Amino acid sequence: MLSENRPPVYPPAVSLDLASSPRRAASPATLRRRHLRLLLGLLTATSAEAEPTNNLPALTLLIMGAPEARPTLQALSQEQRSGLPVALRLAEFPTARVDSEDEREPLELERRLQEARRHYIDAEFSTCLQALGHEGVLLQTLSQGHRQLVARLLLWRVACQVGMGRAEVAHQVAAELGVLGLEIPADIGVLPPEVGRVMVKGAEAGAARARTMLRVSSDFAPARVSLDGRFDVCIAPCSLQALEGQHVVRIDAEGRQPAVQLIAARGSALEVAFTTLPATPELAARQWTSHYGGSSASLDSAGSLRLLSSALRAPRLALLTAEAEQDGYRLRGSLAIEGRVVARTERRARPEALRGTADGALRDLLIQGRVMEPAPALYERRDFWIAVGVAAAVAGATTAALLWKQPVRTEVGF
Amino acid sequence: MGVLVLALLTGCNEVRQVRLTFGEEGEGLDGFLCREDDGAYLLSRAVPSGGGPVPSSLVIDFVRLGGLPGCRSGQLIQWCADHDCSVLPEHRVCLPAPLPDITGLPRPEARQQVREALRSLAGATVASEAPDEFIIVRATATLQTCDELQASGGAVPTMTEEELVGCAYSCPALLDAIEGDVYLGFDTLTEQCAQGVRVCASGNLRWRP
Repeated sequence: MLSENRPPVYPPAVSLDLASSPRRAASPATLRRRHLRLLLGLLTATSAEAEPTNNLPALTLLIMGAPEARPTLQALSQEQRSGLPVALRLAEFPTARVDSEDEREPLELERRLQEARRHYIDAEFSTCLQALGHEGVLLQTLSQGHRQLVARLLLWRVACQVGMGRAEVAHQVAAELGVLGLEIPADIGVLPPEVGRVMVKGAEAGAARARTMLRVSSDFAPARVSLDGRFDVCIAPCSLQALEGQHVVRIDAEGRQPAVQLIAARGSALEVAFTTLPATPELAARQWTSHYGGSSASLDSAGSLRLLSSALRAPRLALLTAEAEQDGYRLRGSLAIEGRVVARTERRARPEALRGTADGALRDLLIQGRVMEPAPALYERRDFWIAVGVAAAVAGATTAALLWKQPVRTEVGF
Repeated sequence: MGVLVLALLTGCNEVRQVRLTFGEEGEGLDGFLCREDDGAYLLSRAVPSGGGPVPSSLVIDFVRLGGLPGCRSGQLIQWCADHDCSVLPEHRVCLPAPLPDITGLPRPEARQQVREALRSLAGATVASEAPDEFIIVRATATLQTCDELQASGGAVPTMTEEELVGCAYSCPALLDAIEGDVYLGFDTLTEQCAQGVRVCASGNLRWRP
């Protein structure tokens, strides 16, 4: 992703090979060779360590805006004569596409459903249930929002249970449909009427259950709350009403990994607290692509920069935008440290002065962000006082020379 | 380096020469031609019995004034009545200066002879470093020897009035700044000026009636 890879600062590994041929005494020539290799190895290691290493903090730089201005801005990272106390690294915006796992999941479930249907037709009801998978499949599918698939999954479970003659269990499974607020799928038309009856009665019983107040909270805000595959029903912390029974609650937040809980709603109220984990760089890249990648309007927003910092593994990230205007460019800059925006700046630049203006903007960001110290005031500079002292000495010497009178000695005589 | 340059600069003193003079025609010698009340020259009081020059000494004093009074004798005396006018002991110089016997000579001839006698002092150094303050230079002729009159222990011996034979003084001057010669003279309108010589030669220029 990064356009420039920093050279390794470690010295090359030194292989001493002292353990070879332990059973045999080494000849004098072999010993000399070993000593020579040892000496060469030590010299190599020493010289490598003596090489100056770049200890400047790294600053990842993102450039966007008018295409004709980008080369000028990108040159910032290639020229170190600006004197900025950072090692600039030019980076590209993440281009991660939305993970195809979400697309593969429905196909896999569809395959399971078809397999279960085949076993049902063959009256292999136990195998039918096995083909539909365990509770985890239902949880994951629902958390991903595939409510219709989950409804079909429950329907075929009911069918298999009825086929096995387990009417009570079938009723309970059908009740889940009502609890989750799912519609009876069209597949019911191909199943025997008995299955249909159990399905309808169970769903009605589930929908008639008492309601429980869910109080959802998260350690990270803002976080979007999803309930049973219905996305963004509220922003945590918030309260939801749900029928008594099992539900799937999920929260999503920028820069955090999604968190899913299977809860059993019961009683008048239930606390549902989430603890989230930081998003991996890959997830952050997907989130950034999904939320901000489609438009340049909010690329420099706090959320965008936080995701970019994570996605690009950039503890210090600067974003420079040059927007073309009638007589030049409007240069905007943002600096994020550890994902948090700490400085912003905006300047106008004539085309011929874009390089210098960008350099100044970057310096401004680094000073605001306390990455570098501002230049000390004139009176705080040692050189200033030295100059003042020298000037005072020169002025004093000049004055003394002008005012100095040669001592006079007068001899008196006849 | 700077200190060295400063030392070199301060080490280079400008040496100026100031000449004492009684005037081109000896017009400043009136104090050497004063007569006693009996009409005799003061110089005639010590003429050797066999004749010849009067064995006298010329004492050069620098008198500190503590300020800058006027030049006339009355102004000087009035100034010194209120100020500490005193001889600078370290600057007293005494030169043997035999003066001629001018007994019976008319005043112009007497002046000429005294002038000729004092011409022998030409080139004599009175001070190698003049005081850096306002002073008057006073030349007093006395019959006392220089040994008697040399300053010692920071004090100057008082000259005996009966031994005085002449006196002249300058205007108040700062010798380091003066341009030209320093004129020595005696401010009197009459030849009967023995009393003026005594005032001139007194240690503190005090008027005495």
